[in-house]
Parts: sequence; structure tokens; C-alpha cells
Amino acid sequence: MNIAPFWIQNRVVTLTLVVVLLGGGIMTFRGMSRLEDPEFTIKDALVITPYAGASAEEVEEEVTDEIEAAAQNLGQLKELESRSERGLSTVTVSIKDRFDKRSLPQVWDELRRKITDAQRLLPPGAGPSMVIDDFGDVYGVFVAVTGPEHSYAQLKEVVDFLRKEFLLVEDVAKIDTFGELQEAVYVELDRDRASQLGISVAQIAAELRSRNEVADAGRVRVTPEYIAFDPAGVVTSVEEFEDILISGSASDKQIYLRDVADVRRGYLDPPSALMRYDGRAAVGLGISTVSGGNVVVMGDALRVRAEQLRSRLPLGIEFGIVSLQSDAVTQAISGFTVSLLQAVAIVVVVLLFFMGLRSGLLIGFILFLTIAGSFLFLDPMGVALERISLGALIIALGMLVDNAIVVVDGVLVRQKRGMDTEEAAVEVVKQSAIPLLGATAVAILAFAAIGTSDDATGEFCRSLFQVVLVSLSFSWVTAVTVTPLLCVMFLKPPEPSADGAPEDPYAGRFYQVYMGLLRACIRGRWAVVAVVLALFGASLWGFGYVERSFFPPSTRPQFLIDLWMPRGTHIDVTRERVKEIEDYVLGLEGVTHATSLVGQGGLRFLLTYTPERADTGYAQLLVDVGDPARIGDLIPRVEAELAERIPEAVTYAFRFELGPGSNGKIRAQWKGEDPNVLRALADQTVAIFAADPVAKGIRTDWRQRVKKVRPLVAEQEANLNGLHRREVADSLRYAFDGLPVGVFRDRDLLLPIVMRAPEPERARFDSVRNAQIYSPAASASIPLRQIVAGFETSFEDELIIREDRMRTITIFADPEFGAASRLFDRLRPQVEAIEAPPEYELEWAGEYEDTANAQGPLIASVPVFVGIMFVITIALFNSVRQPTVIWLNVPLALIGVTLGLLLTGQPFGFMALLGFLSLIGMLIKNGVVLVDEINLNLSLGRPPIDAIVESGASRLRPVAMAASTTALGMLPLLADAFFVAMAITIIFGLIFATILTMTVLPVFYAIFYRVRGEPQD
Amino acid sequence: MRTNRWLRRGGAPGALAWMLLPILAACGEEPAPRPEVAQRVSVVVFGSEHTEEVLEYPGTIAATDRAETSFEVAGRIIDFPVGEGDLVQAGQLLARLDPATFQAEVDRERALVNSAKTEFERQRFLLSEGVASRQEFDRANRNYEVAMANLQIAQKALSDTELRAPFEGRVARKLVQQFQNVQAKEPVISFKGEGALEIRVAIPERDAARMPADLSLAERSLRARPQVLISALPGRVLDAQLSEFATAADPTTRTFAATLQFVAPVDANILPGMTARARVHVPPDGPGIGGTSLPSAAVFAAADGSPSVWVVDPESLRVAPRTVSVGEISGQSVRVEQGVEVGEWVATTGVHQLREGMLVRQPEL
Repeated sequence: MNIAPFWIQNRVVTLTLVVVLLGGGIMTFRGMSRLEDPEFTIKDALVITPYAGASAEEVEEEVTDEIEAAAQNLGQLKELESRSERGLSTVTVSIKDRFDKRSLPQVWDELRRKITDAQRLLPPGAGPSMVIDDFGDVYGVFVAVTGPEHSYAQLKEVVDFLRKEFLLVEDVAKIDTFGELQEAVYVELDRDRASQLGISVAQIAAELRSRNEVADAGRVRVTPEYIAFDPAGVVTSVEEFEDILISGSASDKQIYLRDVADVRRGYLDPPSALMRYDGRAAVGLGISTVSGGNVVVMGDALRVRAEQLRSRLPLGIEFGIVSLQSDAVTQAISGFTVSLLQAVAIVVVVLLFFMGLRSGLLIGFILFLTIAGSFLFLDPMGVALERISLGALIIALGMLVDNAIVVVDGVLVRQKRGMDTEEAAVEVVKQSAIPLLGATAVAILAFAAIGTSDDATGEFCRSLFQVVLVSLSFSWVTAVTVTPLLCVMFLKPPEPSADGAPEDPYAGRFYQVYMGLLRACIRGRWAVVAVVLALFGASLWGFGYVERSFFPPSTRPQFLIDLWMPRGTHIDVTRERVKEIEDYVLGLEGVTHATSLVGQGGLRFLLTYTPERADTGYAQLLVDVGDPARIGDLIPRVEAELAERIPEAVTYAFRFELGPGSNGKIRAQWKGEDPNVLRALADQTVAIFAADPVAKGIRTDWRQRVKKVRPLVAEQEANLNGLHRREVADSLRYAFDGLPVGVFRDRDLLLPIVMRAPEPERARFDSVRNAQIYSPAASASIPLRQIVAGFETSFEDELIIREDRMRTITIFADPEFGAASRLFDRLRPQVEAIEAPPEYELEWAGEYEDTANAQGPLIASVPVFVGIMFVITIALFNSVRQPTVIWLNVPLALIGVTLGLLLTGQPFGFMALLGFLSLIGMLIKNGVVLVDEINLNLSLGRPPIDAIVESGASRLRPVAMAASTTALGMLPLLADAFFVAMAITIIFGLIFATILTMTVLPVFYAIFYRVRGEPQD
Repeated sequence: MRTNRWLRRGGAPGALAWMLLPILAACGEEPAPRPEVAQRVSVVVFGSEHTEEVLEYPGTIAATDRAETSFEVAGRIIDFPVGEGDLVQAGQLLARLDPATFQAEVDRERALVNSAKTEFERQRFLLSEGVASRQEFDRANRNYEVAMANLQIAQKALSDTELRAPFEGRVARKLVQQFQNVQAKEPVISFKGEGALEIRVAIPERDAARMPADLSLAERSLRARPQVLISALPGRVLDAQLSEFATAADPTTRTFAATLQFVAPVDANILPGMTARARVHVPPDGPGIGGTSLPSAAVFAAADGSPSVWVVDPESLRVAPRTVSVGEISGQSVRVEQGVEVGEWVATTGVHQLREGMLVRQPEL
């Protein structure tokens, strides 16, 4: 079929289309959504159920079990993980891969319904459950508000004010705070006075509660009006609390509350989360973008607004920037765009070199047109400008020009032979349109495996396939429509040679050498095969030494330090340690800022950042550096220093990851029933990990067992006094933490009213023995010791984690340097050798599992696509032998890949795998072109050996050019940490494979078709 | 051709070797084992720390010498010369009832006495004359003596109209008002002596059971070192002595009343009715929480859940786990009952990071 003539003849139409595509493409590029990394949907939701006062085991059996059972009914469920800790149950529900962000809200609704139905199965005192489905929301702007000379209350006022103002800014979705302290009203009762007067805590609590309630007194009719009664007596300030009258049972006198108690406003102690910035207390503000909004636009608008508001803020308030996505995005996109332009320039230079000025420029223009046109089609598909899509464009660059090169080269060759340009153009297109379409389809299909994977990694890399699909298809279209026209317009036939006869284009010395080599190879074919097989075998063996990884770490100028104090450590102690770390880190050279998050992980400010759950012994520091290259030095220094200073904690530092995956790359999981056995197995695993010189950050997710104090209640005594476990619990709570007895309404704030013992009593554990409890039977306070025989010290598991309803303990480790795969290979056999009782299993998670999950769908779909590609090649040649000859070349690419990876020390990660898959497409394309030419020559009547050799010569330049444009066009990617492994894979693989294609493929062809080495007479 | 021969000879293996070289260089890089780093720990010598159990009881202060004075007779108060808080001497007048009725009684009796006396003397004269009978003399004698006794009773009742201070002290409270009618033995004035104060507390039966049975109150005070803390004077601790201890329990609260005496501080005005706490130290021998203890941070749970500590060998400086049995927590420490010998070194920091056989640095003791 030939569509070229139409386009050549109707040149005005063609040229107009070109202009429209160019203009439209450029405009689309400017308006396209921009991100740093592609978005992937986090398909997790949390179901949180409080169960105050219950131990972890009680929570697990009575609450978590029910919630898990309800969630299991969800058909869309992939995995269930649960955390049962003292007083709280958290169930993480993970949904199957195939649900994307459009279908997820439906799934969450169903989950909510099931959880609501399960509420009645919960024990009294538990619940209600909360379903949190915006767990994956990213707060693109995360700042710390500090004010060193300001009190916390002033800081909070500023934060509230900013929150209100910023919510009105363009594209802002929601704003959350971090590290905000909750206020409360404390009523501290003097124990001795209270017991003397016979006043009980319950009495005062009832009094306080009733004072602050709103009571409906009804209305009265005063004709003609119906007037409401408004009984006053509502307490409006803390001072008014002190004027409340309490009557004791010892006398009928009434006394003021202030005579028996101290009432004041304070902050809930201990706090659950704290934030610090550069060593100062701070409150964090996280701002997220509306879905579909533009992060850069929001970031700029926020900046402007912040400037405007500055005059209304008190002096001394500062903002510390923890993460500003818009800046990172702008920087990243401009970086990628520069790389793209560099790649285009390289490709054009190569073309100029190979094809001369005019042809080179012509093809360069076609390239530019193809890219611009691709943007026009990519934007409506929802593809944003980010790392993967722009990287894909760079990868595709080399392939984009291939089609145009074939056409232009074909025209040039025919011109040299003396044909008229227009005729030449039409003939070239007629001849090569279908083969080029087949080859393009094959190249696209090589990437299809990643385009159809629903896993998070698949979603992350999907734009790779989309970009390649659109750009390659478009390049074929331009090759058969616009390129012929441009050839006709701009390519002038060469001067006829001196003797008037058409030149033999292949007379040059280079060609002669090549053709000679080819003949030699065909004659010594079995030697060639032996050499090739040996090289292949060597590369297979060498591949075992290549490191494996998942995704490379990011080049973000920020790294993290995690601090894990033993479980149960008071948050004040953790904070003190954090202060020490801050002082040290801020004194290091190269460090610009440090943000500390104490008590839990921060807001999710990057999609790839997974905040840790609340733990009073946990803290994390985000350390900003001026130059990301210094992080490699800083991390070991910091780790060594912290191990020395804080030996009782597990400390380690790590970088941010690109793509899904997190730290804790090595994860061994033991599954079973008995916590003692699980812990024993975990201890053995930890010992193995610790013995390895490279492992760091070794810890388990169940953490340590904590002490608990059990008051041994003498049942008989308690009953005689009319007291039960509840009252004992209340009086203990009152004696230390504080007993919430009501709520104080202060305009828009609801402050809990907490009754507790005064400071000197609270600070000493021994006060518990001397605590008093009000006995209703005796109408007096009696010593708690009367009904509590003693306080037993014991240990409990405060954290029980299950996966898919089986108790699972995970042991984490990371390598100090090098790839995790090496460490994993060393540790794996040792851990698997641990003897475990029959019902206990070991599983490996971490990078091993992530890679398997990501590669799984890939590997599963690769045979399908390879099959399709094979079928296409069969269809192209209507034979089986020829595609076989072509496909035999594909595994040989491994030789180049292994060599390249070992030489440069790059690991074979996910991106390298994708690169390898794409190599297949490129190799097939080259092979198809060569075999097609051989067939053509054979059909023209050339003897087989000559047909092979001459085809090789004639295809040498296009193939070499295609390979070099692709390979050299990837050079800018070598500087990008994310793509470097893929670039190495493709560059080395392609170069070697091309050499092999041009030398070994003909040999295979000769073998398969039994072509004799010498020309037959 | 030349290329052909090159391929057939050594070119191919040469090419092979050249390609394999970097591969060989890259493999075989196993990291060297980490040198053993001594962990830094703090240790404590077991036996150097003891916890002492301290028990506290709330109570109210009262004066040791105290009385609620009352009139022996009923009447109307006409004189109430003292006020609450006045210091009075022993024997000083506190209150006076209206003496009119009593005076009249006295007068009546005196008249009766006089009459009986006259009669008695007359009968004695008659008896000596031999005119009256013995019986009448005896009757008159008896009447006279009865009248004398009645006079004494009436005089006593008269003197009972004056209420005097039984000892030197202060008027604590006036329980009735002037001009009020009071019954006999109705408390009129609450009176307290200066000097010693006491506090009455309720001892729960569990604590009482722990006390050794055969000690005197003085011996108990010596062992338990009781102290008094007054709410109005925070931070001041006063020594006290056990002065009374009930041996029968209060039926409602099932506690035993105990009284401790202490001396009022001269620089503060401590008055009866103020709240205070009595503090008692439980001697470490015997049942209870007192005993050898370790800092709470030194005890952790082994994999099987049993409480354990790390014992450091002073020579090899290596740690070994030891199972212990623990008692109650007190202060920052927990009592350790079995498992560790006195004098052994026990690690108190970083217990969750240590492993058996690990090397530690020489600790400072």
C-alpha cells in the first residue's frame, strides 16, 4: 500500500498539518501537568479502633480479629496487616492491584459498610472504628512554623490563622498540622484535704461536668410572645471553675473548689507527637493539592500569599521549609528538559556525521516534529511531564529517527543510482512501509509488558510505555507521510559521476573490509558459533556477579536518620536524645537544616515517604544538605557517632528512594502462633544479621516487651467496700496520668478537663501505694492498699502484628554500603537454616518481595508479548526459519549487557530490566531490516552468498546509524541516577548486539539455509 | 584471508579472555568481617541499692492534752470570760453558771443543819439528864449528820457552777453560748494543752498484719521511724512517736486506729484540725517491697517472657544473660529477689542492644 503519493502531491495540506502539529505540540508542552515523579496510587486504607485500657492481646482477640474478619469479606482485598497495641487496633487493608484511583473510592465505601456492620461485634468500651482512606494523600508543601521568642500558645494562634488563610489559596485541597499540643484544663486535688473532708474525685467530676453543659429550660408564654429561658451558670473561664462550691460529706458546709484543688490550663502531658526545626520547637503545617491541580501553580500561589500575610504575623515567626514539591518539580523538569535537548542535539550531530548536512537536518526536523506531535496526543491521555515520561522520550529518541532514516537513506541510495527523487520516495515508502510498521510494532510491544502491569511499580512506570507507544507510532506516521515530501523538497540528487555510470555506493574500503569479514565468518561458521556460544556462556556466569537492586536512591538533597529507643520509653526521654542528635548534626559541615519528628513519622510529604506509626520511643530527623553528593560521606559518619553516643537505641541513616520501596530492604518474616517462639526465632535471626559486617539498622517490628504493673485487687475487700476494677483503674489514672472528667467549651475549642494528683505525688511511683480511693460503703476515703494487695511487675508484648490473620514478626536490616542483594544472598541461607517448629514459617519480604511483585506481572506478560512479536515477524516474512534466525540474536544481547554492568558497577534493577526488554525490540527491528534486504536481493536474483553479504553492506549504514543514534542519544541519561542502569544496559547491549547482528545473523542465516561459503559456479 | 586465519588461531580465545577480565575483577569482593567493637554500658554493683518502702496515712492533727470540759450540774451560763484561742492558766475561771438556785440550796441546807444541830444538842442534854430515850438521841444525831452531808452536797453544787481550766492550755472552741442553758455533763469548752500534738491515722489491716506482734510501742517507733508531714508546711518533716495502737478494727472501714505524737514546731502555728500525713518506713527485712533492687531499666524480658538482666564478667568484660525474679517497683528501681548475687555487675543501659557474649568497655563504677 502506498500513501506517500497523496502527501507528496498535496503538499500544502501536508505542510499545514506540520505547522499545526508543531505549534500545537509546543503549546501543549507548556501547559502539561508537571510532577517530579509519576504518581502511583496507594491502595491502602487504615481502620483504627480504640479500646482504652485493654492489653495488646485483648485488643488482638476482641477487636482486631473482628475487624479483620469483616475486611476479609471484601472481594477486592489483596492483603491484610494489623497492629494490635495497648489500647489501639490498626488494620491496614490493601486492595488488589487492578483497582486504580478511579475505582478505589467505591471500594472504600464498601469497606466502610462492612466495618460499620462489624461494630456491634466489638466489646463494650471499644470503638467506634474509623476508616481512613486518604492515607496516601501527599502534602506537597510541608513547613515548620517556629517562633523562638514566642510561647506555644502564640505559635498555635499563628498556625490556626495561617491555616484559615491558606485554605483559600488556589489549588489547595487540605491542610493538616503536625506536633500540635492539645490543651487541657487540669484540676489537681490536694489528697489529704480531700480525704479529710470526705470529698471524692467522682463528686468533683460530676460537679465539673454539670457546670459546663447547656441545659434547656424551655419557654414561657407571655402573650403574644413565646420567650425562652436561658439559665446562666455556664463556666466561661478557668478562673470561674475555682469558684464552684463543693459540699463534702464530713460537714454540711460548702467550700470553694479552689480551697481543695488547683485549677489551671495547660498542655496534655505527655504529648503524642513533637516537631522541631533547627533545634527549636515548631508546629508543622502540611498542605496538599487538589486532585488534578498543578503543584507548581499552588506552590507559587502559596509563596505569594505568605509574603502578603507576613505583615500580619508577629515578629520573629519564621517558616522552615521541610519539603516544597513545587520547587523540586520545577528543578527536576528543567533538568529533564535539558537532558532531552542534549539528547536531541547528540542525535542530530550523529546524523550530520553519517548522512551529511541536508539529510541530517531534515531528519532532525522530523525528530522535532515527532516529539511535538507526541505531546499533543499524550496530554489528553493523562500523562504528565515527569521523570519517567521525559526519560522515556530520551530513550525513544534513537528509535524515533529509525523510520525516517530508513526512508531518507533509501531515497539517497536511489538518488545515487540515478533515480528521480519523487519516484525514489514513492518506491521507498512502498517497499518499506509495512516492514517498518512491523518493526515499529515490535519495538512498541517490547515495552508493552510494563504498560499492562497494575502493580504499584507498574503504575509508576506506565508512562514509559505510553510515551513510547505514542511517539513511535507517530514516528512511523511521519516517516511515511511527511518525510517523503520533505525529501522531495530538500534532497537534491548528487552530481553524476565523471563516467556517467551510476556509482556503486558500496565500493568504499570500509565496505570492502566488512564484506570480506562477513564472507570469512560464513566460511568458518562453526567456529563463529562456538565463539558466540562461549561468550554467551561467560556472560551468563558473569551475570551472577552483577548486583541486583530494585530502584536507585533519589538525588534529593535530604537524608533521614531514624532513632528507635526501646519501646515504652517516655517521649520526654526520646526528645532529649533527639536534642543531642540535633546539636551534633547541625554542627556538621554541609548540613543546612534539620527537622525532627518525635513520637511518630511526619505527614506524607513525598509519595515514596512512608511515615512510621506512633511510638513514644521513635524519632526521625530529616537533614538537609547543600550538596547531595556529600550524603554518601555523611551517612557513615553520623551512624558511627550515634552508635557511640546512644548505644541503647537502634540508629541508622538512609536516603530517600525513587519509586516504590522503602528502607528496611532486607526483611525476614516469621509466622506462627506463640509470641515466645516467634521472639526466639527473631532473636536468632537478629544474631545472624548482627554477625554480618555490612548489616545495619537491625530491629524487629514487634519491638521490645515492656514492663507493666498489675495491681492485685483483693476481690473480697473490694466488694465489701463497693469497689471494682473500674474504680481502681480510675483512682490509679487519677494518681498519675490524669482522669478525664468532662469537656470545657472555650469558644471553638473543646478542652478536656483532667483531674490528677499534684506534681510531687505524680512524679513518684511510690505515691501509688499511698493513694486513696473513695469507698461508697464507708463514705470515706480509704487507702488503696486496703483493697490492693500489691503491685506485680511483669512483662507483656505491647505490639502484636499480624499479616493475613497470622501473627508475623519481621526483622529488618539494611546494608551499610553496596547493594542489598549481596547482603541478602549472604544472609538468606543462614536464616533459612534456622530450625523452626513445624507450624512456623519463614518468608522474605522487603526488596526481595517488592522486586518479585513488580517483576511478576512483567514476567507473566512478557511471554504473551514476545509471542505476539514472534507472530508479527512470522507474518512479515511468511516463514518460520527467518524469524527464528532473527530471534536467535536476542539472547546474545546479554553479552553486552553483562559486560556493561560489570564494567560500570551498576546494579541490575527494575529500570535495567525494562531496558533489556526494550533491547529486544530494537534487535528485532534491526534483524527484520537485514533479513528483509536479503530477501529482496534474493528475489532480484543475486546468488545467496552475495545476497547475504551485499545486504549486510547495504544495511550496514542504516543499522549502524540507528544503533548509534539510540546509544549515543542515551548519553545524557548516564548522569541521571535513575536511568543510568537502563542507559548502560541499552548502550552496551545495543552496541554489542548490533555488531553481532551484522556479523552473526548472516552466519545463522547461512546455516539455516545451507548457504555455501564460496560463490557457486 | 587474514581475518579468517586470525579467527581460527588464537584470536578467539584471546578475545574471550580480554572480555572476561573485568568480570573476574568485579567478583570475589566479600567484605571483611567487622572488628569487634566494645559496647559502652553503665553498670551497677548488685547489693549497693536498696529500696525502702514508705507508707503514708492521712490524718488530722489533734492536741495530745485535750479535754472537753463540762459542768457537773445543769444551769444557765451567766459568765463566759474566755474567748476561743485564749491562753489560760490551770485553775483559771472559764465559765460560770447562775448560782442563785444553788446558793439558795446551800442556805436551806445550812438552816436545816442549824436546826438539826440544835435538836441534836438538846437531845444530848436530855440524854445526859436521863430524860430522853436513846432512840431519840440517835435520831437527832442522824438528822444532824444527814443535814451536814446535804450541806456539803449543796456547797459542792454551788462550786460546780464555776468551770475552771483543768491544766494550762488554750481554749480551742466554745461549744455553747453565754446565757444558754446547759445540761449536766454537756460539753461546754473544747480545751487543748500546749506543747505536744498528735495525729490519728487509720492503718489498713494488711499493713497491720505485717507488723511484728510482740514489740512494744517504743520498739515499733524505733524500727519504723515514723514521721509527720503537715499539708500546710510543705517540705517539713517532723519526727513522731507511736503512742497508741488499737488492737480491734473499726467495723466499717476495717482499719486500726493508731496515734502518733509529735512536737509542734515553734516557728509555725499548727493547730488541731489541720490535715497532715504520717509516714512510716518499713524495715527492709521481712515481706514487702523493700530489699535489694536494681534500676528498672536494667530488667528486660527474654524471648520466653521471663525477666532477665545482663551480668558483666569483670575479667573478660563480656555479658551473659541471667533470669531473675522481680518484686515491686519503687521509685526508679525494681526489687530483685533471685538470680543475681551480691557484688555482681549488672548492666543498666542499652539492655535491648546487648547479645550474649558481647564485649563491653570497662565501665565506670
